[in-house]
Amino acid sequence: MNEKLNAILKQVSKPGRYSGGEYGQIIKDKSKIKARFAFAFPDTYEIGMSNLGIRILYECLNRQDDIWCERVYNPWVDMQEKMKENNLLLWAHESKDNVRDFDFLGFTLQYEMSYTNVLNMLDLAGMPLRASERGEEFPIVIGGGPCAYNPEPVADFFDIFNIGEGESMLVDIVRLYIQMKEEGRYTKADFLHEAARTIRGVYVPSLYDVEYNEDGTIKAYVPKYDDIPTKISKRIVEDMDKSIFPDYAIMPYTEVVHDRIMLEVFRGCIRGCRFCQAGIVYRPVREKSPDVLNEQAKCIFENTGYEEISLSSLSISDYTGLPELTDKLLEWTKDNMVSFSLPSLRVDSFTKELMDKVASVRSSSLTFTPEAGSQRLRDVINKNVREDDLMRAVNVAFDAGKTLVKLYFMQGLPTETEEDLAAIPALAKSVIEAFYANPNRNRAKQPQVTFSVSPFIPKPFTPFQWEPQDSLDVIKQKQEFVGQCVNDRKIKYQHHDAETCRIEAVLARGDRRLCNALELACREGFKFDAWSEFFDYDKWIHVFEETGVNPDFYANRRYSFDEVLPWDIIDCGVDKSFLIRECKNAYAAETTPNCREKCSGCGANKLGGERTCCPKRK
Amino acid sequence: MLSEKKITPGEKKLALPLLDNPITVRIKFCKTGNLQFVSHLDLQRTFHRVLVRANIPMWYTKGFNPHAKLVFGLPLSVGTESTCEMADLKIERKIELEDIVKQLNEQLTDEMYVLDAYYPTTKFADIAYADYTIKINSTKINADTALKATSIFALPIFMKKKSKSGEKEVDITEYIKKIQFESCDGQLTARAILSAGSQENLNPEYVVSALRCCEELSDELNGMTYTIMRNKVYDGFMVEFK
Repeated sequence: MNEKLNAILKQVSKPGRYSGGEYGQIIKDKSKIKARFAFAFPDTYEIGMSNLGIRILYECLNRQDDIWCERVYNPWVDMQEKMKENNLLLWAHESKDNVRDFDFLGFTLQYEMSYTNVLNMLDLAGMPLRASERGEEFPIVIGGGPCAYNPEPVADFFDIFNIGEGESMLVDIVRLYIQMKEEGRYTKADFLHEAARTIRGVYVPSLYDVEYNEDGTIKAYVPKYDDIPTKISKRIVEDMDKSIFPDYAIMPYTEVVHDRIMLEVFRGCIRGCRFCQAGIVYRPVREKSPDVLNEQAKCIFENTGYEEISLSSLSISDYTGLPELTDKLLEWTKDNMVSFSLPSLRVDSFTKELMDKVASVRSSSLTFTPEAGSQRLRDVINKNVREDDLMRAVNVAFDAGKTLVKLYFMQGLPTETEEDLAAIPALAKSVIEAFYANPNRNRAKQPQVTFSVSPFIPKPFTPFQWEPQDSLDVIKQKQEFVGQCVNDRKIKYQHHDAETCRIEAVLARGDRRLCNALELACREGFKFDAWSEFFDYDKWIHVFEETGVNPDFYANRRYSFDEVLPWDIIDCGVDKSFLIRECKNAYAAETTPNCREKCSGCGANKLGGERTCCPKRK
Repeated sequence: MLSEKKITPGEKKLALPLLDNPITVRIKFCKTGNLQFVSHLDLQRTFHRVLVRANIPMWYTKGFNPHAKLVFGLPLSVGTESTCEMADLKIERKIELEDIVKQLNEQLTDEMYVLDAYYPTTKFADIAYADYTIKINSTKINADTALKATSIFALPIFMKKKSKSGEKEVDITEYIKKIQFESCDGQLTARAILSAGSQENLNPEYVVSALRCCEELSDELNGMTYTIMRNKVYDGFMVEFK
């Protein structure tokens, strides 16, 4: 394998992404291993290596002496061709052994457009796509991550889905496998049944039949056994301070997207924006203590030599320990030439004090996410941000000499009108005006506001999960309308690809009947659909037609409050009644206070958790 | 979860006494196995982190955007292994040479590690030649293959060669100081001294291509795989460069 692989690596682009051998990778003695786990990221190495979740789970599994977890990425198309020519199967990064011979193959499902890559990788591994066609000799295929909250469009391809946070769940699954093997009572079917029965958060889709109504909606999920849950409850890590967090990193040699220390500050979000899936499914909020974070950051720095720390969490400025943490970090980062950065910021919490602390960040641009142009629509989506907040925030940036501002918006949100759309470029314009009105501005440079507008995609487990997406024509008309409102060269307008967003909507709210379409897509060679150069809308429509899938049914239909949703088999901790209440509040343009101000009774606090910020739990 | 011991990053490095003037230390290292696929640019980018991890007291530029001073010798092309790579480090604190080797090797892997550290007396610009071993494997290679290969390289070989000024057709043998072939069943070995450095440089891949493109050898080299190892570098007087 190695000689063959090395010969091929001389013929492909960026071979460093396939060669492995990174500092920090974990190599184990195969003779002492009872279960081998291949952890796959269904996209390129550059993207997969930037994912913090995989780094955490890699560490969780590898802390077990008798389990060896390795990484797998999807090879780029030139490499895929060479693999076919040379009869090479998909291999695991560390050992270069074929993934097909592992005990487990896990996929992280980070975005819907990576589904075709999942199937592409199963195919490259030389494995049948459907779980039902894979015999005992093939690895157990596990899916997890944010898209596993509605796994139905890919249900037929997986043996197990992990619902919720995988830290302890994955180890429980592999332990059960080892135990059953050692006791001589292992068969795949018995193992799947026992996992579904005994391990919280495990969803085995083949153990549930789906019945449909005549109108195509779902009638019921029927478990095949009495002793498995009728609804799969999300697993969470209760105490983030005690959770496993790698104090090292695998150091990539080739350039990857996020090549820095990623410090997870807390999980969850107190905000509850009504379009946001992450804001709901990661509830309840669970913070880490500033001391723990500071010590972890020091450890990772010593073990990596990274020059930048990124504080990563959903809405970082909501962290109660932020001033304490940044002060503690500054005590040692300056002497060691380490800078730290914050991801996108909420405008209402962006202060001069915060700005000064991250001033060492070299970037001259700042990103804010007002999401909607008008106050009315921001109230509808529960953004709880006012135009004054944005103006104050950009002035802080302009005072400090910054000249570039990026703004993110959505179009096609429920109740949206033409005025709401026109308010988007108008807001960009008032940022430019604010620049010229600021006496402390950087007079040497021109300001530049880049605003990006992405079409609304209804996502499971959000108050907007029942809402239709705009039709393709309407999305495009709106994109054009916004473009026409821009008449200033200092304002740049970008928008997402309408066709991709439509397919994403179909997959996001899809049910099991989409599996046929995805299988055909794989047979027709679909891959890297998240990459614009490979995405082909017409081919997707063709695949839907061939398999009897009506995309309008999933993307453009208003789902009703009382129908069974494809993801009703899963309990993410937040009650459906809360989501309905929030949807109704949206139509009334009523905002809901954030979790720290007042508990809105979403139900997630029943899951427990330490340092949760939930007033009801104090 | 944390260990009881609190750490202060950089403590070990900052405890070393400052030198009056920063000095240059040259390290010699190997880069083999999987690491042959790491490009020169990627190595430059990632080596800084190795130096930080290893607590090497690097001297930093004093500008707005301080960075450590690290200069690599002759670039190594992707797909070539080496046992004679060199880099110059500018350091600002007193540290034993053996500690530099030890501390760096704690942070490197068995596919790339430091062989030696010393105070340089030469400049990288003086590198003029490099010595390579090229091993070609293919089932049909036999004892006569070396003779054929030798005769091919006895005559001019015109190939399109990329250089800074663009692509042009050149006789690659003009860049070959010396080349010797040996073969046995299944393996052809070439030992070649090629022009190397910023003035004139020949990537050893051209030698492989010349063999591969040659009609007389097309049968023997069918389905071949190969490895290239850089063994040594020389200055213009063919004295080993250190």
